[in-house]
Parts: sequence; structure tokens; C-alpha cells
Amino acid sequence: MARQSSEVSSPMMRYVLRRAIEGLLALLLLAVVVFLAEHATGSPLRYFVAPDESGKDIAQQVHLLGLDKPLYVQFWIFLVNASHGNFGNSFIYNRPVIGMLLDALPATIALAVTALVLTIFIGVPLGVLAAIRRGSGLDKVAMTASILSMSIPQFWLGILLIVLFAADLRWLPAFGYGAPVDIILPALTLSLSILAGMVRLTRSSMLDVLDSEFVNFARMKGLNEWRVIWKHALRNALIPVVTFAGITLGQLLNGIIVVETVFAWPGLGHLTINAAVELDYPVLQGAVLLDGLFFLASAFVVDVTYAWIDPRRRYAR
Amino acid sequence: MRGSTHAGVMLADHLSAAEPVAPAMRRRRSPPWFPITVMVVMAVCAVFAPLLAPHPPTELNPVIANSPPLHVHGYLLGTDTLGRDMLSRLIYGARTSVFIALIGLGFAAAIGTSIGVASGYLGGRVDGVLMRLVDVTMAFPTILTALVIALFLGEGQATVILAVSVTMWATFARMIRGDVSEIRGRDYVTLAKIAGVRAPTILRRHVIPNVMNTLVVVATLLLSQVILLVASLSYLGVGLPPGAPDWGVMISEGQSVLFTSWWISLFPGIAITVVVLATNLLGDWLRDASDPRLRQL
Repeated sequence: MARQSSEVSSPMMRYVLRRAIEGLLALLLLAVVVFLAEHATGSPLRYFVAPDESGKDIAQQVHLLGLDKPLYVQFWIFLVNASHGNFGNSFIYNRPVIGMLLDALPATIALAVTALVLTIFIGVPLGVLAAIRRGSGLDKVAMTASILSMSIPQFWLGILLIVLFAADLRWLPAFGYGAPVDIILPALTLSLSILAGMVRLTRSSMLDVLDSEFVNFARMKGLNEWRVIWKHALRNALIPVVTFAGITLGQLLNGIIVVETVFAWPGLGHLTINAAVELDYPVLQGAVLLDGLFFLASAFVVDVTYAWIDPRRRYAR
Repeated sequence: MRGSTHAGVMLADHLSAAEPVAPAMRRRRSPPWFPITVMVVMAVCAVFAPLLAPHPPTELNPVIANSPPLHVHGYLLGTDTLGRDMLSRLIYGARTSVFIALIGLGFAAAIGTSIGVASGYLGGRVDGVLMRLVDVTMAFPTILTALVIALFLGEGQATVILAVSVTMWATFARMIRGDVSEIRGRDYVTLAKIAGVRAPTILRRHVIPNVMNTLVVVATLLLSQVILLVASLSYLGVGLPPGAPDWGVMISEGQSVLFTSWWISLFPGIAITVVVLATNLLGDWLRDASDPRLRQL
């Protein structure tokens, strides 16, 4: 492979730079698609003029909206505005889109973080237990539960939890946002679907590590089994678990969109879906671009972390 | 070696349901009766829906709206908020699922196989670019992709089918590419080249027949994801339109009357779970029975 005379010498820096450029290209592509979407179904003009307006008024609107400019100029203007966080006003709510996005952000972050914490604190111990008692009742239950939770549609699981915990037992609120208990059901629903993968991964990775020589050595040294498993073995078994985040990112964002809709959780996912259903293009453009930005940025962080842990990846094509 | 750079591939091994077992140790397993039964029932429902369904799936009958299961004679599973027969809608729902999954996966397989074969056979820079595209497609959230497609086409079957094809082709491409780049180096391909056989003929005679196995296994493994995606899109209101006999739509329609008419959301949910579980198990079984390398998926 021909290496162009590059100023950046370290492979790690080169890797980071290449991933960053790829990420930006992907974001640009998303911006093109999102921009075109508004034009694809007809001229955006129809959202701004009443059917009975005269030709002169329409011409004036066309000029005002910049629709008389060539498409690439319009795209450039869109891009410049978007990079300043300006997506215009919502068609439906007549508010600046950026304000709506920023209002929705904390709810989504709270949900995602809670779900991830739940997943890690339930998934890792469960996976370790399943691995050290391989073939036991607990192992079988954990494995069966995980394949089942991979098969249940997330939105339906949310509905079942609402019926069980909110309607029948009346322990938790079904809908709401503000009180700390409100987050329990949405976060649980979101985490259950990722949990399956986490348990399986920890279990399988732990099984590999428990077979290795350094674990045997630690045992031979006379360390007690508890320390061997939870300190020596787990620490190494967690390396693939860290990168698990990379695979789950897309799944997590899917999940957030679905779960926020089920629980009417006022976050980004809910906003995105509402805008799509109401054909509120400015909000939709802003929301999809922000979702994409989040996704690509986290994918970037995960990939770079991975390259940092595993040097082989820096040289991969 | 796979040239792909996605972190997931290296980990996918760990996520598999199957234990790593040496080929010699692999025991013959009995056929997976549960998945096979479910698949047969699905297929029969899909093909013979008009004969099996006691009522037309969109027939409104407001007089008996919201009747629970076993309440009105002839409406075994009750009716929904507009008095449509739940059982008939479930049966037609199977037809919708099968139809969309077959066509969507068919397109995905055709695109994915072409790209996978091109990438694996040509190698080099083409391979690098195509596989990077595969990485991005595979990692990008499927629902977001589908949303963007729905923006262009509006809701309806075409949107859902396109969404399935656009999100699923990459998996086919990646797996088939792996096969092809290995087949390319085999003796019979080299000999065919020496004998002066042209590339399209080599592909048709020697390469493509050898990836059919992978194709079938990948398609089965993806089937469960497709069914879940279609249901989610319909539920979110960007898939099939309200009123369509589709399991996701039915769950969504039942959600507003969840506390009084629980059966409207319950039955389609069970149907989806059972079918997805069955396809998951069938896919795992097929993969282990045919080719352990596919455990990557």
C-alpha cells in the first residue's frame, strides 16, 4: 500500500485522523440526504404559501426562502446554518429547532446513562456467575433468559412492563418525567435488550480467560478463588466487554428511539419520531443530524479506544 | 484474514449462542422441531390467509368492538377497537411479515452478494472502499436509516421493504466477501484462469455456487432482525399505515386501550416473540450444522 508523504508519523495518530475524516464524511453524507429529503417530495414552497396566493406573492416567497438559488447553493446555506446550530423554526410549534433539541437532550442522556449503568451492574456479575457455574441451573436460566430477551420486541416489552408494574401492581409510574422513579421503567426496558448481549459476552470471555495459564498460576500461588475470579480473571475478561459498546451503539440508539416513544419520554428519540410523523421537516433535519452526530462521535471514541488497547488495529486497513 | 475494521466482528464470536466446539467433537443434533413447526405454521398462514381467516382482516364491526377473547361466537381471540377480528388480523399479519421479509431480504441478498463477490474477487482498493461502506452501514442505527427513507417515500410497504434492503445488505456482503476471497485462491479457480476461462464464467460456475450455503444461513440469521425491524417501524408510525394487518400496527393500536382491552396488544406481541425466537434458534442451528466459521455473525 502506497503511503503518501504524510506529516503525521505515528500510526496511532494516522489512525485517529483517518477515522475522524471518515466520520466527518459520513456526517456530510447524512446532511446531504437530510437536505434532499425536504426537496424530494415536492418543493418546500408548499409549506409556506397558501393555495390561493397570487403569482407575485409566491415569487416573493420563493426569493425570501432562497428557493430561486441553485440547489448546491441552497445546500451550502443549509450546511453553514446547521453548523451554527440554526435549523430554522418548527413548522408545527413555531419555535427555533435548536431550542427544542437542547430541551430534549437531558432526558435522553439521563435515560441512556441509567440504562448503561443498569446493564453493566446486572450484566457483568451475571455473566461471571454463569461462567464459573457453567452448566448449572443458574447458567441455563441466564442463557435462556438472554435468548428470550433478544427475541422480544422492545416496544412490546415496555408495554408489558407498564401493564405489570404500573397498572397491576401500581408500584411505579408508567408515564412521566421529572421524579426520579419515572426513569425506572424506561431504563429497565432499554437495558434488558442490551443485557442479553452483555451477559453472553462476559460469560464467554470469562470462560476463555479462566482457561488461561495466568489464572492457573494465580491459583497455584495459593490465592483464594474469590480473588482469582473477581480480580485477576475479570479484569482481563473485561477487555472485549469494553469494546462491546461499539456494537451496541447502533442498537442503543434504536432502543432509545423506540423506548422514548413507548413511554412518551420527552427526549431526542421521541422528538425525532414525532417530527417524522408530523412531517415537521426543520425539526426532523435537526434531530436526525444530531442523532447521527452523537452516533458517529461515540463510534469514533470507541474505535480509537479500541486501537489504543489493541495496537494491531492501528495498522488495519 | 478479513480486512474489515469493525470492532464488532472480532467480538461477534463471543456473542454467539453456540459454544466453540472442535469439528470432530460436534455431535449430530436432532432437527430443531420447535422452529420448524413455527416456520411451517407461518408459511401456511401466509399462503392460505384468505382461506384460514374467519373474517376479512379489515372488516369493521362496531357492534362487537372491544370484545374479549371467547366472548362473541366466531371471534375466538376477540376484536379490536373497531370490531375487527383479532384472529383474522393475526393470520393476515403473518402474511404481511412473510411478504416483506422475503422481498426485502431478497433484495438485500442480491445487492449484498453482488458487492461481496465483487469485493472478494477483485480485492485491493475496491475491496477497501466497499468494506468500509459495509462497516458504516452495519453500524448505523437501522431505525434512523429507515426514518430517512420514510422521509422520501412516506409510510407504506415500499418504504419498509427498502428499509430492510438498505439496512441488511451489508451483512450479506461481508460474509460473502469472506467466502469469495478464500475461494479465489483455491486450485480449481487458478486452473480455470490458466485454462483461459473468462472472469464472469468463473464467477458463475465456480464462485457463486460455493457461496450459496453462506447465503442461506445468513438469510435465516437475519430473518429475526428483519421481523423485529418491520414491527418496530410500524409501531413507530413510519412503517405500514394504521389499519394495515400487521403485528406492529396492531400492538400500536392496542396501546391506547391497554388497561381495558389488553388482548389487542398481547396477541400480536406473543406472535412476534414466538416467530423471532424460532428464527433465532433455527439460524443458530443451521449455522452450527453447516459451517462453524459463520459463528462470526
